[in-house]
Amino acid sequence: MINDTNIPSTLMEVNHLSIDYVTPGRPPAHAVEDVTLTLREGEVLGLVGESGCGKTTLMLSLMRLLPAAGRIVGGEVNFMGTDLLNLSETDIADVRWKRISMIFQGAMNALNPVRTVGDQISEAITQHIPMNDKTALDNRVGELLDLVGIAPHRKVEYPHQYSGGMRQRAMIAMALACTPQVVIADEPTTALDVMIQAQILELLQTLQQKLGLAIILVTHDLGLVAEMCDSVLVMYGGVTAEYSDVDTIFNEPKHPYTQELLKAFPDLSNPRETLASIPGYPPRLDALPPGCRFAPRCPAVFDRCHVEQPDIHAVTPTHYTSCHLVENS
Amino acid sequence: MNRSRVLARRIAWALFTLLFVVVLNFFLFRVLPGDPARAGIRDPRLTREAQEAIRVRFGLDKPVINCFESLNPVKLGSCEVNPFETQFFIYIGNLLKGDLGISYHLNQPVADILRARLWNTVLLIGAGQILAIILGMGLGIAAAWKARTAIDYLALLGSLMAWSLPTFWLGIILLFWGSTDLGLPIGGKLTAGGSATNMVDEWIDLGRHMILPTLTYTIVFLGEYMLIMRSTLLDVLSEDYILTAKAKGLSTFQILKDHALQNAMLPMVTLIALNLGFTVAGAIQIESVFSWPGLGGAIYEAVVRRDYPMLQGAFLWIAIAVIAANLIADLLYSTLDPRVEAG
Repeated sequence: MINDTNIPSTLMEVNHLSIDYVTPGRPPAHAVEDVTLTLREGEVLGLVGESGCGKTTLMLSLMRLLPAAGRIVGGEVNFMGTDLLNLSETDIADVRWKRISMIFQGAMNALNPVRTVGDQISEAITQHIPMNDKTALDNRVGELLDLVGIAPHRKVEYPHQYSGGMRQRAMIAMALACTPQVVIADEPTTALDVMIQAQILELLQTLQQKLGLAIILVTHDLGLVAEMCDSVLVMYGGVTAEYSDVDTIFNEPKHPYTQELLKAFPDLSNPRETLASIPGYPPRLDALPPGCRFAPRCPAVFDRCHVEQPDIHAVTPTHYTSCHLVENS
Repeated sequence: MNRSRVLARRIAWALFTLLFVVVLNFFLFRVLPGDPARAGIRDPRLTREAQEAIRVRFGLDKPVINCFESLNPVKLGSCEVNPFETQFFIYIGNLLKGDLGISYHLNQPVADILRARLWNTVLLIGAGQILAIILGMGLGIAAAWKARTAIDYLALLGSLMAWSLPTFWLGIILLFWGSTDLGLPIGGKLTAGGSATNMVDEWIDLGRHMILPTLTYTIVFLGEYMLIMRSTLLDVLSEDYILTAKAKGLSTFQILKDHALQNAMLPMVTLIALNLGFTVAGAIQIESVFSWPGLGGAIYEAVVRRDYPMLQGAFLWIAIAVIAANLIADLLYSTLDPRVEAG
């Protein structure tokens, strides 16, 4: 995405990934369909879309953590030369946390309530890096907590003794325990108040720059995307609506959904403008419209949209969108 | 809050409960009709003097408590009597000395009879509970791990059946089957007039007597443990921290062992404690069917013979067992779950 002479190498390539949720006796729900994305070293990719559009499903599938009903029905997840979808259960367990770690939505429940925070962080380390030296392990845990701004001596405390923001910090410390290449942050600040949100995001940004992490940031917050991300993938109803670098998405959005989404976000330079909303609801994944999934709500809809699902078109080599309008122009 | 204060408070509560039970236990048996002279020994030939002698022997000639000569029928009396000359304080005083009174029926100290019987019950219940806990938890874990597979459904079906079987019916069926097909003894603790000459033979004899009642007891309780273990474990396995553990690269076995079980143990501990306490009494059916000389059997006999001091003593033992089991559960709880300590 970045037109630099010194292009960082590709870490992860997701090609045409499709995921269904299967319930016995019912047609499968196509939660994610034909999503393609690329993640380079040190890149921050924003994943944006309404609730239930398949963002979390997509993220969980990257680590093969889908719930029992979730099936990956097509595509590949190429990570540093191997397709994660073909790895054995033991091999994928090695990739988890060591290469790709995750910060979860629910800061409250993502830590085990009956084990100390330090214990849970050391577990993450020893699972992947053999460490016989107890002191070295303790030091590493202290170092990680220190990195996220928690006093190391608090490692002996339990999650309920931490505030919500501290728990999310501890979660971040845990995510960094094995120095992974990729951190997936699934709405890391949803459950926190605004002040703490800002702190956590600042921390993430600092750590990202300091450690050169690649981050996939799942969020509803476009302001955050503008501030933190290098590229953006906009999802709608399980498919890619638009995918490009952050400037293109904000300045030249091609997909009507992206355009509407941006209008629904307050603009500092024009504070008097009324915020737009998109009428209607996102489609149910088990009852998708036959044509374009956005057609029932699209302000620029025309006949073809209702009968034919648009393919993904390249507007430029770094700008993709799935809209019949783009093909026509 | 620090640990020793929590401990002290819990123990104080347990003692307070015990005191309440002691008082209740005393008055409960004073409001019930009858004393040995009138109800226990129904012999019309008994002379007035003999009746009076019996009443004196059991201390029933004294007023129940100040102002009350007796509670059933209610008969008011002098309030001026020395409190230590009333039945209530004599009872409390005797309790403190470990004296639970004299059995109306057996004419022996209740404490001695109960002590011997209690150990038999503890032996039977101990064996049965340990087996039921181990097997029930094992099955529950297996079923939750393999949820919605054939293993799960089989374990579920079996446990539901075991749980719904009437204890006495299962006991009778097992007794019938075991004594005819397997040649096991039909009841008692040891073969009467047994020829056991050494310890080993005696233990083997005891073991053979224990098989059927223990089996009955295990089957009856196994189902409950399995069902609770399975459902709590399934709840725990759907928690976010289990997903975190999986994302950390832990195997299913590690997740169960290191993250799920400790969380799932909390309801189990409560259940085990409650069962342990109540089954000191709850073994009545099994002990009756298998003529096991335990506390349950003693209670059954005492009810049949209206042996109030015996019942009173047994009730006290049961209350102590329930209170102690709950205290232990409380303390275990705060060890298992760090969040509990504050409460």
